[in-house]
Amino acid sequence: MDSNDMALEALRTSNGLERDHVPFEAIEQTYRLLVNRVYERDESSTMRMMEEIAKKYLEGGRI
Amino acid sequence: MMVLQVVEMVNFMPFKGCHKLEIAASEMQNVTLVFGDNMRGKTSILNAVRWVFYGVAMGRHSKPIPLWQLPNKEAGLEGDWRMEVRVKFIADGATYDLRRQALKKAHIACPERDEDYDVHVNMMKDGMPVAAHHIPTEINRYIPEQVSRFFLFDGELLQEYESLLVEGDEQGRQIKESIEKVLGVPALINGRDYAGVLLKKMQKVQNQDMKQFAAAASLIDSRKVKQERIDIIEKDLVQLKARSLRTRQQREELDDCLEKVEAIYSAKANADALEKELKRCSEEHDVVAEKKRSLVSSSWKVLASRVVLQRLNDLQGQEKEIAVRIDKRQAVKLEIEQLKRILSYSECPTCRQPVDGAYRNSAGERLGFLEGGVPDSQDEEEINEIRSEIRNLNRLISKSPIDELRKCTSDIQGLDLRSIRIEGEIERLRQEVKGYDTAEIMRWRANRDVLIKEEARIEEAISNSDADRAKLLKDLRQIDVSINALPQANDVKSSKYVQYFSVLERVFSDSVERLRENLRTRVESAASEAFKKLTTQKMYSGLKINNNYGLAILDEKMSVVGIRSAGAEQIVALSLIDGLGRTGRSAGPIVMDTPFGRLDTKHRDNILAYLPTTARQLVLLVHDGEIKSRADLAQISHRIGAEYTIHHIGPRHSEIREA
Repeated sequence: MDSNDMALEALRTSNGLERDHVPFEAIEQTYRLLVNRVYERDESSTMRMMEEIAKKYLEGGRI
Repeated sequence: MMVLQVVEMVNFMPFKGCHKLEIAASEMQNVTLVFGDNMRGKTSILNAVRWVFYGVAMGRHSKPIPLWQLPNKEAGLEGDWRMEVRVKFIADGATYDLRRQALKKAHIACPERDEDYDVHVNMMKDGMPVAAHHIPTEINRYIPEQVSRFFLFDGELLQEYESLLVEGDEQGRQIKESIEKVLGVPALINGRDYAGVLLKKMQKVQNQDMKQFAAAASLIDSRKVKQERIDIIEKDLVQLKARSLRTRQQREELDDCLEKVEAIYSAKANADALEKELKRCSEEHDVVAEKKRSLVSSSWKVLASRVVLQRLNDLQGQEKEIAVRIDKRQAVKLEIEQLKRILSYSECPTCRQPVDGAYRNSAGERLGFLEGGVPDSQDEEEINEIRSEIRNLNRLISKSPIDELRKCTSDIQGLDLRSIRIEGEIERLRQEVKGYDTAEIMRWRANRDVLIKEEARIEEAISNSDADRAKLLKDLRQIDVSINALPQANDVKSSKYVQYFSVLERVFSDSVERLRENLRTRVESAASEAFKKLTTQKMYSGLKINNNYGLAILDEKMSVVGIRSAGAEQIVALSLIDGLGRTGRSAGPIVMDTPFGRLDTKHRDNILAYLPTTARQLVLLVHDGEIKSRADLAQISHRIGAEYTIHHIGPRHSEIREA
């Protein structure tokens, strides 16, 4: 288990403790996006991509 | 996973001309050795790798070396001011060719500033050029600069890791940040922060969407008030943090000045002490010189000593003869006394018998003979005169002063040399002290005290603002729940987004601490495992991690070992780095400069046996003091895939040759 797996495990546990949790797929996808763009200076584009993920799950009827 | 293949340097630091290192890349032969004496260019190789990837080379105390000081000066004086480093590597199946060049501007004759150079960076990926603005992103994907200290490291700086054990230490804080970067914590922190920003944005959209519903009006107003207060607090926090940073920088600048002044004070105290030492030297010099003068003034005795000795010898012979005569005469006088006493008795005083007549006659004859034979003598007077003369002569026969004279001369020369050295040192120290204004120093100290108080005040304000913000955010969550519970909320799209980002923010926020806790446990376990393999002290049971990722050594009773040697410090630091490497994302090759400097041979052997098994590629830049012979490398000989030696050609010219 590397630190990626550990981070995902932590996210899964935290999400599981939430009453209104969101699909873990959305969290995992967001996390992988953040890992790939962790040294990206253009933060607003990363946030736009996070919104896209949210839109995919919220408007695609997954939630 | 990244695999480094080739490092090529042209006129980089002492490496005049073109030099190429092919890095051992096979999994079983993954060690590249570069031997070089001190000041030959080992650290320059480390810097070449650093410069090609990040455009920076580090000098002593981790300070960047100005660009214009990097190109080889000898080549420059011959008209070639070009400098270039090129690396080829493979990552995720793609082949990369990265080249960084510094070229002197055409109108500059002799570069003396960074601005005198143009720097060009080119990258090819599988033979296709990568756009300039994508190059840093490509590099950061495989070997991020922020965590470069864990794979491009200077053995001399390993002791910095001890600062992780000190709570509140600035250097420790920076290293902790780097550690968390290599472990991937910033991705979660960014997730928390970005989700917070998006949540706020969506809350504002929801405010607009819901204002048409009367039931939501008061809740929305309340949320707006709290959001405005949060905005104000966040703006204040930005300003406070900027002020905190400025204050800390100002205080650090003063710390540097005062540190220098401390050196000045110390120099002045040393100069004063040396003045006293010089005075003592001068006094001692006078004493020795006086003694020498005295020895020289009595040196005529050496010349007279032969005659005196002859005379002394004669006199001692005469004294002996006279003494024999005196002894004989004394014996005769004693016998005369006895005979006279005998002849004065008519009978024996003991038995009262009358004395025999014949015996009396014989005694009388003997007495007459003896009294007739005792001459008058001047022997006593004569012997006294002789003895007096012997005493006087003995005073003249003293020890030879030659040895003492030599010693005095040598002492005087030693004292002269010492005085000259002390005078030189005093002059140097006085120059160091010259021009410093003590009133200015006092002002620095006062300012520093003010800044320290200011720092504490700002930190307290930040802490209070953080607490206020946290409370307001908690209130906002409650309001969010209340708004989303309204039936009208289901009719607006923004409600779903608020709920989504609210959960996302909490999940990422909770995960940060959860991940940190898990990572610390993993790093502690992996580092302990490495430490037990690296240390020669079998009584140590492992390492214990603190919140900063600082590692303490545990003894056999699981108690923390308080005092650690520099060597132990290095072993702990290497264990931490290995633990991080095995817990975090793979960083690819490890380049180590002078890694065994503080270690004994047993620890060195343990590291040599261990590191090649855990690192994908290992480049060791070592000197003869660390690895003395081929026998030292016997245990990793099967792992060595490439070996080079740095040859000294001149003070500004070294060459890399394949060994």
